[in-house]
Amino acid sequence: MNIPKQTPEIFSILSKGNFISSNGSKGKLFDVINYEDNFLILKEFFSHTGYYLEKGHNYYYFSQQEETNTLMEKKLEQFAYYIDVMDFFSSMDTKPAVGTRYRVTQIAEECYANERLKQKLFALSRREKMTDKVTEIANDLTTGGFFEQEDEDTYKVMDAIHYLEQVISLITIEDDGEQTNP
Amino acid sequence: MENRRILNRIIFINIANTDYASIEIAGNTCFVGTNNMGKTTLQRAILFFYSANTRGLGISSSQKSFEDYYFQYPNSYIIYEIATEEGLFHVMVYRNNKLFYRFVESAFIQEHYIDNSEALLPKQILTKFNEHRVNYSDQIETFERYRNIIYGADPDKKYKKFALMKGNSNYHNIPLAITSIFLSSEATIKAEFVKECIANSISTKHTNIELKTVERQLRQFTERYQDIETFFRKENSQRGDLIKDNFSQIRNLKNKQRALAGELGGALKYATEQKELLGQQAAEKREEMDIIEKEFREKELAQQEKNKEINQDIGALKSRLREADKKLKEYESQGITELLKKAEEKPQLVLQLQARETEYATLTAGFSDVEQQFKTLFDALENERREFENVLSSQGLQLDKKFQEEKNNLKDIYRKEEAERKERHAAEADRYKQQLNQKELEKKDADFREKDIRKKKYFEKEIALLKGHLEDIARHKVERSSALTVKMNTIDLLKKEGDHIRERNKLTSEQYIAKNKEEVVALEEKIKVINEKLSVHQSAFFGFLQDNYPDWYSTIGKVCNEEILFNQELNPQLLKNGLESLYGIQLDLSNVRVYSKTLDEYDQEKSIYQEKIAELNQAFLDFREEQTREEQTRLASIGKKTAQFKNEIAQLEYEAGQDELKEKQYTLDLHEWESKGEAQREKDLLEVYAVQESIKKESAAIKQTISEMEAVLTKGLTSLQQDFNNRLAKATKTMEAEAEKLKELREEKQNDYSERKASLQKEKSKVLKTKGIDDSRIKKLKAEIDDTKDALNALEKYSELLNDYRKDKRELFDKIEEFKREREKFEDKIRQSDKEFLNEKQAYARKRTQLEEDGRALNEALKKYTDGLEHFERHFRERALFDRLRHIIEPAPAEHSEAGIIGLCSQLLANDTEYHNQFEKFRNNVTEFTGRFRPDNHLNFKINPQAGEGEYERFAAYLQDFYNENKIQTSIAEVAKSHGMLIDAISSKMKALIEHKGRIQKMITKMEADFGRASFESSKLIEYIKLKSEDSENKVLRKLQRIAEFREQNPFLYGEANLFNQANKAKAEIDKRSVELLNDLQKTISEEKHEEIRVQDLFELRFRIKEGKNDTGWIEKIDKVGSTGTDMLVKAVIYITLLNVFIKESTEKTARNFYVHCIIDEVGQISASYLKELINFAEERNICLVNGLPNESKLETHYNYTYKFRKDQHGFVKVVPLLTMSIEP
Repeated sequence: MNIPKQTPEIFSILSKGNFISSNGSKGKLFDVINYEDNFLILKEFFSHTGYYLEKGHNYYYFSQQEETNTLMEKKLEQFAYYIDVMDFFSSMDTKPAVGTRYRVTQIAEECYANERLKQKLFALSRREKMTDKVTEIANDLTTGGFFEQEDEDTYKVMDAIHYLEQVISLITIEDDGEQTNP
Repeated sequence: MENRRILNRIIFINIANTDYASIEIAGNTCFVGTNNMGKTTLQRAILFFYSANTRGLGISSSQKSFEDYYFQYPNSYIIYEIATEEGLFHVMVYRNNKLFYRFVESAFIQEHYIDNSEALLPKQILTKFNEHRVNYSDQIETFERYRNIIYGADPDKKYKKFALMKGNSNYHNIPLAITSIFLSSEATIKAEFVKECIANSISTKHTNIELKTVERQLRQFTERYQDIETFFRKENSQRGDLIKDNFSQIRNLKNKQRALAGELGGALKYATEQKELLGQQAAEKREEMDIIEKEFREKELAQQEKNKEINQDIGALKSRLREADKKLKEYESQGITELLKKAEEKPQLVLQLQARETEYATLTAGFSDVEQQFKTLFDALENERREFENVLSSQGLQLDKKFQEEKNNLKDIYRKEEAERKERHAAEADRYKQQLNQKELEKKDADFREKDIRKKKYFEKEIALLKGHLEDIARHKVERSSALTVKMNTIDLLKKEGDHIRERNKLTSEQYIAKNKEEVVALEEKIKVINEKLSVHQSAFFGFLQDNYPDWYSTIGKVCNEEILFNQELNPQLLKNGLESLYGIQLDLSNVRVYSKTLDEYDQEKSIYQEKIAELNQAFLDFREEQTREEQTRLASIGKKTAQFKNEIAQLEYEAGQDELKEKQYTLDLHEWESKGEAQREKDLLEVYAVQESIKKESAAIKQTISEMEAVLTKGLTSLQQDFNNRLAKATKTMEAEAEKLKELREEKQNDYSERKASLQKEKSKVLKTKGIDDSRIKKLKAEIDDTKDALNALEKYSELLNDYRKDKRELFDKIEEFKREREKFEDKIRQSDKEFLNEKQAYARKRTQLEEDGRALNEALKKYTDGLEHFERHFRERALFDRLRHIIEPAPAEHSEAGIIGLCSQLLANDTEYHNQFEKFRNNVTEFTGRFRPDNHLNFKINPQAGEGEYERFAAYLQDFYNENKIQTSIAEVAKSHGMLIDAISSKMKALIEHKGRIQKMITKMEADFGRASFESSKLIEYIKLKSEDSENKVLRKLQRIAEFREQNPFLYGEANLFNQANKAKAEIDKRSVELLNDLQKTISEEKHEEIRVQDLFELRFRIKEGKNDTGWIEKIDKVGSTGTDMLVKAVIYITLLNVFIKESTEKTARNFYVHCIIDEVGQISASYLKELINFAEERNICLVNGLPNESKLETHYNYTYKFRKDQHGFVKVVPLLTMSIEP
């Protein structure tokens, strides 16, 4: 079994819980995994480490079969936050479609103009300055691998955003039968 | 007079802090002075003589510039006096904004410059020169020119006399070395510095590789390469296709939207017009209905009125008939018939009474005269008979009169009846004829209407519109078909043209490559030959001559060809020097050309060839780029045209599809309208037929009625005649019966009279015979008289009744028939009137139904339009979509739409929803596509998400053009060119750099040899100074070397201008490798942070110095060799050695009759003996030392010239010579 020479690099990224998206700066690694049988080879290879290489729409990531409850709880908390952040970005004029470039200053400007958006942002970050708030949440998404920072002010939406969208679409809200109209 | 060339003296006039100083420096010179006294100012001025560069003098940026500090006045001068074998000349430096030089052909004479202790201005000085007939040069305006003149490199021969030495092209190293020594004398000597000096001595800055530039080019290349790579990624090409599809769908949806909006606009206007028109029509119909209803009601009333009158008449008649009947019954119950009969006998009773009474009177009057009596009786009887005759004749007359009256009456009745009937018939007939005429007119109307209906074009406007549309479509179809053919042909032609261009370019390219290769190979062959010569020249005859026979070029060089010169087996030996003969024969070779070339010339020739190769390579790249660019431009133009045509074809096909659908729709609509029209015609015709039929029937009925009436009339008249005849006959018969009765009565009476006369005659005869009386007779007479009187009384009693009867008979009973006829007549009238009115009523009902139907149809149509308009107002006008399409909807001309307003609104909304869905997908695809590229990618695939829909459409159009024009090929060609150029440039620059390696080694060897010649035997201070070079450790250089090697191994890898062609695997591998090498280089450059790669980066230099027992080992920098003095000495030795080597390298070997100054400041630490050795060391190398000392010591005694610096009372620095002669001449 010939594993690609970039395997260590791939492992080091994915094992940190990051994604490899086709439209990111690590797009070449995506191509490597995507090349011929590499995905199966690497899946098999990584399975011995306890990580399972998973394939999404234009992105790859690791999953683990067994996770502790604490970790799962932490992940759920993290997801609750991501949902709010996604809600924030989805409320903007420019929706977070793959490849969208967001400028921190531009988001901040929109927040100044849109009270609802501003409220959402205020609920997400406790930083003082508007731009710092935006930077904070953009960095959080970058850490999660859903955004990538291109320069000081610009963030790009990665293919991995589909992962978030997919998870959000799987959430079903139980109807508690109580509906109050404001 | 000097037998050497040397800077003899330097004179300051108004320079810096010095008003005037003349310092002779034609030997080792020492300046003594405390700090800030002007030692360095003077040393810098000496350095300026050699370097003529105001910037390389070690003046820091915080200090005043050289010009501002030295030349503060217009009459500030630095004068350099130079001693030569021929005498002295001097160079004046002055400032007129910038610095200028003049060479003056005389020694410095103070009076020329200073008059009355005042320095003159340059112009005045020139006047002075002119006055004293001193020659001087033109004003030298550039430092370069001055240096060329001083270092003997100026092409102008008139300046040859002002040269200090005869330098070659590398003479710049001398001022550079002198400057470098001056600037770095106090610091540690680093190998870097020596390397730099070596580098400077053998190369110029042009050979350096500017890494910033290379890095920039590499970055550009890598980024562009990356952009193209991204472009070719599978996801992107798929995404590109999706964008194209989306875009075309969006455009189609937009077109459809525009068409629908136009249709809606037309439909709205049409509906508004129709609403008004139909409203008007409906109102007209309503009005019409009201009118006919009113008319009908009026007619109904009139009819009722008319019938009422007739009914009243009938009622009257009926009551009279009832009265007559009643009375008749009453009369009959009173026995009127009997009474009438009796009343008829009344005159006879009256006569009978009179006769009986007379008879009685006679009988009772006296019996006297019987004759008289009887005569009277006979007379009475005769009178009675006459009376009776009279009564009878009167009765006869009366009877006749009565008959005549009755006859006349009957005739009158008959005539009247006949006239009445005829009149009535005529009136009826007239009425019917009138009706018939009316029907005839109606028939004509119906016939005309039928004709009209047959001729009428139903839904003409709609059909004409549809036909117009169909004609337009048919016309467009033809136009489109021809346009399609033309466009297809054009596309074929364009394709052929494109193929032709590619073929031709391929051919041209192949030819060019072949030619280029050929030329390169030829040049390389030449280089190879030169290299071979150069590699063997030292061991060949050439090397021997070079070492042992100066000026061999002008002698042996003219008679030996290169074959002999580079022959290594000649074993040349110098027998006698200076003998200019060829095997003992003297030749005049002044007009013979030199066969051989100098090493420099070979080098030059080689460089020329290399440059030519580089030029050829560059030309090839240029050619290829130009060709690709041109090809791409032409192909792009073809592609653009083709795409345009394809777009147009697609548009035409789309239009054709749309037209086909429209045509189908229009044809269906047309058929529908036509069938609707035909159905309407049919309906109208049926109606007309029905009307015609009804008219026909009615006419026939009328005719029938008329003829029946005629028959009835005839029959009536006949019956009337018959009745009249019957009645007349009856009357005649009655009259005849009466007459007969009268006749019978007369005969009876006649007979009675005759009998009575006979009886009287008999009585008379009897009386006469007997004369007696008979009373029975009187009694009988009396009874008869009483009976008659009773009968008459009874008649009198009933006379009133009879009179009443007679009156009633006359007034009622006789008119019963008349009344009945009258009644029938009236009843007929009512029936007729009712019949007529029924017709009217039916016509009214028909018309009303028709109008109601029409009204309903109109209302239905009106409702349709009103509903449409209302729907539009309620559900469309308030939408943003309407605002967007307002410009299309509002100006659209009115036109009927089959879909209807509601349908169109729904279609538009559905279209809008579809459009938004599609646009969402389209936007996401564009965002994803552009997101894969760098934000500032050179393909310009970027989008500003804030810019709105237009931006995305602009991008899609750009992308389409990009694909259509195959613009990526231009980028590929550009990248390929920059790739080729980068590799070529790196390779040729590396070649040029590496070529210096040999000379570096030679230099190091020479320097080592020079160090070896350092005669420190007396002190034995320095045992040796050694130098060696090692391979460079520079990582960037290594990467550059690898690229150069790669270029060597793959000299013609750029046959195809495409780094992305995967078809040829071997080439793809080479391309990949070359790109990797460039990427590596870029990475290393950014990691290492070097600014440039210079000659000195080619090698590492190591020193090894043994001083006393100190051995430094191989070190990179000479920091501290021993004590400060030793240290300084060693450094000075190294500097002098360097300078010497550079001078040797930079000047012509045959003319070493000049001295230069080596300026080393602060040498106070060196002991006297060492200084002496140092001075000797320099002296041996024609170098004069100019040193600075802070204090007076014994050291200054070793110098030829020693000057002390001090300031006078005005603060001017004075340079005072301490010793004017060399102690060791």
